[in-house]
Amino acid sequence: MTASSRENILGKLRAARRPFPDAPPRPLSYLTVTVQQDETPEALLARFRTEITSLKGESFVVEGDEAARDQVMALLEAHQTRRIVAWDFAHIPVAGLEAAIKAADIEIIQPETHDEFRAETLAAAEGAQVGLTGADAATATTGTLCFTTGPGRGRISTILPPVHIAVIRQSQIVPHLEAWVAGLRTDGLDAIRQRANFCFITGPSRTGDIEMELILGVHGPGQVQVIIKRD
Amino acid sequence: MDLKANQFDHSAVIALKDIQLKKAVGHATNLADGRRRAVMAELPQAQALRQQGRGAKLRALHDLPELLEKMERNVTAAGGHVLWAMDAAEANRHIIDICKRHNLKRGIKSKSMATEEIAMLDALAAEGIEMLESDLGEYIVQVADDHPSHIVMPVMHMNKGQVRDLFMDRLAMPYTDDAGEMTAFIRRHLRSKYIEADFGMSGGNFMIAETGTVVIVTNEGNGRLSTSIPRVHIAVVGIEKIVPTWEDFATLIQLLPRSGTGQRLTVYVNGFTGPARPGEPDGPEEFYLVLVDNGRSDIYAGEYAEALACIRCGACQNVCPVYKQVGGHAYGWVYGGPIGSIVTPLLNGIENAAPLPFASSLCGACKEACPVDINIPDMLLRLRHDLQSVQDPFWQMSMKAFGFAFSSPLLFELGGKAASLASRAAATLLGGEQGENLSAEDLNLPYPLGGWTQNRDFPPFAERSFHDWWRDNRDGRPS
Ligand code: SF4
Repeated sequence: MTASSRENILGKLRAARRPFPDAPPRPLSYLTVTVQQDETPEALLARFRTEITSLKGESFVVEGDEAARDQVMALLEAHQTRRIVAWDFAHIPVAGLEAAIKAADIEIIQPETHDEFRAETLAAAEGAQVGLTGADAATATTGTLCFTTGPGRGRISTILPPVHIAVIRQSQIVPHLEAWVAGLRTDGLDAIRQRANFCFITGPSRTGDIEMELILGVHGPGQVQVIIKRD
Repeated sequence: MDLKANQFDHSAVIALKDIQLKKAVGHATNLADGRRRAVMAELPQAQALRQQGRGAKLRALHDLPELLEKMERNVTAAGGHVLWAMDAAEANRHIIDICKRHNLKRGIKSKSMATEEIAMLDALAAEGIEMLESDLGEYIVQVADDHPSHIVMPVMHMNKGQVRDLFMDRLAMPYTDDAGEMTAFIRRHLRSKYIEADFGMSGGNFMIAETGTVVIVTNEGNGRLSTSIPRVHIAVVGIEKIVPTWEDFATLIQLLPRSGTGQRLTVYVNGFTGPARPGEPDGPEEFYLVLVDNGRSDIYAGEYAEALACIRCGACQNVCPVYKQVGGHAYGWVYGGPIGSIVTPLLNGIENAAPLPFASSLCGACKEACPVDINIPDMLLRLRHDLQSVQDPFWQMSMKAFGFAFSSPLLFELGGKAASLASRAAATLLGGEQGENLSAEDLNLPYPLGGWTQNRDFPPFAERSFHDWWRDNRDGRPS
């Protein structure tokens, strides 16, 4: 019985002499694992680009909406894109992007898997060449994109297609993971409690399972391209 | 998985003679360890960070019952369901009940040591529920009807040629020697399975109590696919995986990949707080968390609670001179290597894994590599001592002699040589084969040893003592 197992387990743990009464108390300030001395926007941008390159991802820095749009379109063309799965364009920080993509005759799917068309949606999404998203933030020292879910911001666009293109603003780059967590703490943890999923994505999908040989794009995207729009 | 830990000595002898295995395991562990050293050396405060990570785990264990209740409250508030399982059978019953309730027939899962531990695949198969491993390494293991041999690199015991032959034989893969083409073949092969699956399963590397979030890490993205697409997600997690806060998590989530694979961060760090919320376009509609005890609360109450601080990075396996020689299967259960030599006896009864605490040179490399500074050698030593009290009087006597021999390297070496010679002589007398073919099975020892070995695998002294081996092999190795 579930109820009794719960009581049994908790009861046994409570009855035990508590281990580690001398465990160190919660630090007042935690050491960060990675260090970023220079936190100016340019230094953060430079570090992010170095890291994502070393992970075999790519980054492109653009100025203004028009350049951002051109960059997205150029990448879509390079991937011979006929179909994309995408976030709601309200969450991708490039004005006029949706119209440009439609004008190029590229089909846009915004997968919704909770309705009766689930099977068809997924089958169609599977055929997309590119997933297009924004991101909540990026961390400089690890080259990571941070995502949480919400209306218009699903998971499938980040993981199903062979290529993932994310557009962020330069000001979204924070120094490290701990800085992102600090932001979470400041905003209140309810933000996390109310969202089903968070994900840190650090470079393209990879495996080393066969003789430790690095292979990209096993199940997730083999290419991750980040377009950074200067503020 | 059947427990075969008492056959360690026999299995180890077989493993030692397997040149291909030794090459594969040596190659993988050396590479992984080199990468670990490189990324840890980048951190000027590496030692302080290890202590920060250790502190987080020890605090979590101190407050374990309260944190589990908090976790349960937060998962429930987020719309998820929490089920508690005393043992493997109950965990499997919960999972099967969920499958029946939602009429789930086909699952896809990411890598999880907990589901290995409860032998979930067999339990589901018995109910006619299909479950596919999606991690490339775990998938290879599943297709080969094998077991993972390492915590984070499940098929490190196989080489490329073996994987190729397996895929050609079982999956009709066209011939290729290219690991990239093999991987691409599997990508295509599994693609439709994610979409056809009724439910996704995962383990959990961490549970963040303050928000009720279960976190998994995968490099391949299979964990994100199998938890994003199907309608139901079941996470099976050991109760010790809890951490109190996001800050604690932030430290540990970076120490884990640095120690395990030498990465600064795993590619996908994926966290779940309940099922998809209204308005979210995808994600599971039902979220279940199965909290697995399966012997952990006994460990908690005993002298080895520190073993519960393990974050399963595998670093201790990669540095262990014994593991590097014999690989993970010789340890005879789910967890091999130094931490396995502690956890296996603790979870299965020490008399059922008696050789494992001895499968160590106590060199201390494991403790030094451990990202949370677990005192593995100390626990192994204490377990050796504990064996005395559970075994019969003769065993106690011999263990005292063993302990005496262990107290001096010279005595141990001499004793080992003498025992090795004696057991060969005994085997010859008893009509066994010559020395080099001697194995634990041949080793029927005369009275008074015979009474004991009739129903137990006696841990024989190695034909070639570790000291001899070490003397011949230490050159060119980091000391
Ligand atoms: S004992 Fe330490 S080194 Fe070994 S797997 Fe656990 S955390 Fe990693």
